[in-house]
Amino acid sequence: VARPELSGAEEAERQKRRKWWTMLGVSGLAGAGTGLGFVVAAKGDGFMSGPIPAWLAIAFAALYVATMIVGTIAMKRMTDEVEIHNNLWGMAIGGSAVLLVYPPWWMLWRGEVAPEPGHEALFLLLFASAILAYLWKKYR
Amino acid sequence: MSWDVKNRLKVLRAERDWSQAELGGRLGVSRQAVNAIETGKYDPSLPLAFKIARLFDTRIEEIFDDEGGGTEAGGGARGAA
Repeated sequence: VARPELSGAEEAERQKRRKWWTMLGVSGLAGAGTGLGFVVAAKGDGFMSGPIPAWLAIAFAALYVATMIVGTIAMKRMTDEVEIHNNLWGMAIGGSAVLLVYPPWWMLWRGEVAPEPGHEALFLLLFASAILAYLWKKYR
Repeated sequence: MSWDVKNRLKVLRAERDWSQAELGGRLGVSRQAVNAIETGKYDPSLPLAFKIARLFDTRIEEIFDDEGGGTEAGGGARGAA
């Protein structure tokens, strides 16, 4: 099947979209690589409970911060206001989820009726709720 | 407060036989952004609304219509002039 010829504007839109997906893919790979690397490096009795060398911790932290900063700037440059709106909406929901869960969890822990709040669980809550809210806003 | 803004973007686009990607490319936004505006899922910012109006050589009010604008308390801009 012959591909329909694209106009200049259509081609520009397609290239912009391709760049955006590439950026998202690279950021996702960097994030997944960092997470997976940490899980493997911190293998212990429990999930990520083992010690990891300081140099590796610094390297992962630096990679994460660099990816976040570069990725955010690049995304801001190549995305439009609808996408920014969807992202902000997702982050607002993610932040609200943490604000809703963390303080009562901390209070219950202080009252010795719940385990100590888990860093990974809270980050996962923020990340998952933000992604789900973003996807709902984008594809609803 | 519910504030429905309807628009004629799809009609104007169809009149020129443009695809959503074509319009997106001309406006510097994605095809999904055009779709979100056309279906009323997203109301464009004022700068983008002006850009759309300029592209179609018309006025913003000819494209976007705030149907609830005259019925909400404090929102009675329509007909005030």
